[in-house]
Amino acid sequence: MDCSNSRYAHHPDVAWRLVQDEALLVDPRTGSIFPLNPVAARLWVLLGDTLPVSEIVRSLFQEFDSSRETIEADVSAFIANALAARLLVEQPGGSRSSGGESS
Amino acid sequence: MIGAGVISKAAVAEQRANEIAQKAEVHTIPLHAMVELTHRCNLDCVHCYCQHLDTTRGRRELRTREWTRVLDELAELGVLHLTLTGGEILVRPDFWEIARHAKARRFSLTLFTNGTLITEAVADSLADLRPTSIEMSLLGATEQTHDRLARANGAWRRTLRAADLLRERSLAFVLKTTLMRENFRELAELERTATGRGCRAYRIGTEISPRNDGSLEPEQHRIGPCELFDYYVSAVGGAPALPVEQPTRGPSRDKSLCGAGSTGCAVDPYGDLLPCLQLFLPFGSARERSLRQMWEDPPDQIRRLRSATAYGDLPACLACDLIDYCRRCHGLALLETGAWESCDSRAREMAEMGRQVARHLRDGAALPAAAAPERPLAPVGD
Repeated sequence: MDCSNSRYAHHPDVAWRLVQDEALLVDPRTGSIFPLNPVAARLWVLLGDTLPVSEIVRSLFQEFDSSRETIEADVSAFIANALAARLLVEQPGGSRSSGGESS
Repeated sequence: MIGAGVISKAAVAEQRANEIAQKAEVHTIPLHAMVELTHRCNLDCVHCYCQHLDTTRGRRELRTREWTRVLDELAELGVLHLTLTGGEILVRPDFWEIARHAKARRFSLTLFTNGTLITEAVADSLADLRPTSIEMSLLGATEQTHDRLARANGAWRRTLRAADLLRERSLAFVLKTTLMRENFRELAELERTATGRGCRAYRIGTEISPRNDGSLEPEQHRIGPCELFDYYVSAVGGAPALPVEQPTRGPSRDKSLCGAGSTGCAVDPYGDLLPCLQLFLPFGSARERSLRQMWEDPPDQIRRLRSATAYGDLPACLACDLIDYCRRCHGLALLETGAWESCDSRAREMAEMGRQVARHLRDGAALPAAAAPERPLAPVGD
């Protein structure tokens, strides 16, 4: 899916904290804990700033040693998973094409 | 690169979460905090450690803005799991303002309440707040027992009504019972009552602490060795949790001590930062210094506390033949002996019980008669 202009926000119920370069998320609705590695933790912080996905990908590409294609794919998968788990909510106003929807 | 992202198998997630918690421990980041909003309560439970001290000592509870600042500072320190407790948290008129501030600061909230003040409207507000857990005490399987122990008529009905209101709103709640001489014989029925109400978990505790004013009065309600032994033996494999310590697999001297003051902290109603609500070794007052200043530049007694991370770091434990079975509490040791590093009689009694249970499980040994004195049941005031 192309979600490069989409913006997201943390679900207001989700508790979380950075622990050094990693993060722990808690979903109070289920009591589940989600550990995030350094890249996912950085992505989580950037998502919380409601930046468009394209800007988030650009930031991660500058900060981590990986190809843009890998980052785009990982970000897309992370967002899909987090939306399904109701850890993220999509912000109104961000355009999002429905073509190639994979989740 | 991001790996499994946020969705991974529970066992993998738990292992990774533990690794991150260990990282927090290495960096002395307190992931857990207990915040005691007040010592005031609408009940007067016989076993409660909490006495309303602000009038007797002339101390003033933190005001709303002071609490919200403390919460900001706890979040900045890295606290994720925050428990709001009392006293009874709902007696504070500003409870909702404080709780919503905590929610906005992204804590995972646990609320300790006796439940008696939870009405339909309060339950609706709790549903909006959506804490991770709400924990309430169920002291008896019958109205008579519970209300006598809570020293309040109607408390049992109101607490169970609260459980129903929370369940109707799909709010996760825990019911818990402190085993006492007066409710011990109701344990099976208590468990049925609790689980029948749809709680996420039912917990049983055996520990009763002295009051925070030094009174030993609550201890008269502790169950005796015979009852404890029966409970532990019957609990093996059956109860929700086995509170007796199991022998450690590795060297006992390497067994970890409680992380109070390192991995967790507490703030009392008057703003004192403590390692734990049971361990009265203040870092200092939030009214005078920031939590970060106190956390990063603690008094010597806290430095000594932090330097002891394993049982082998305490001379009293290193020489003890019960080290395998002990789960000492620094706070109880401090209250009884004046030194948190010391051995206290309750820890020793419980560790001895653990050894007896282990022997019973291994070769069917019974509790020695000498460890099973008969004590008359004390009446509970109405």
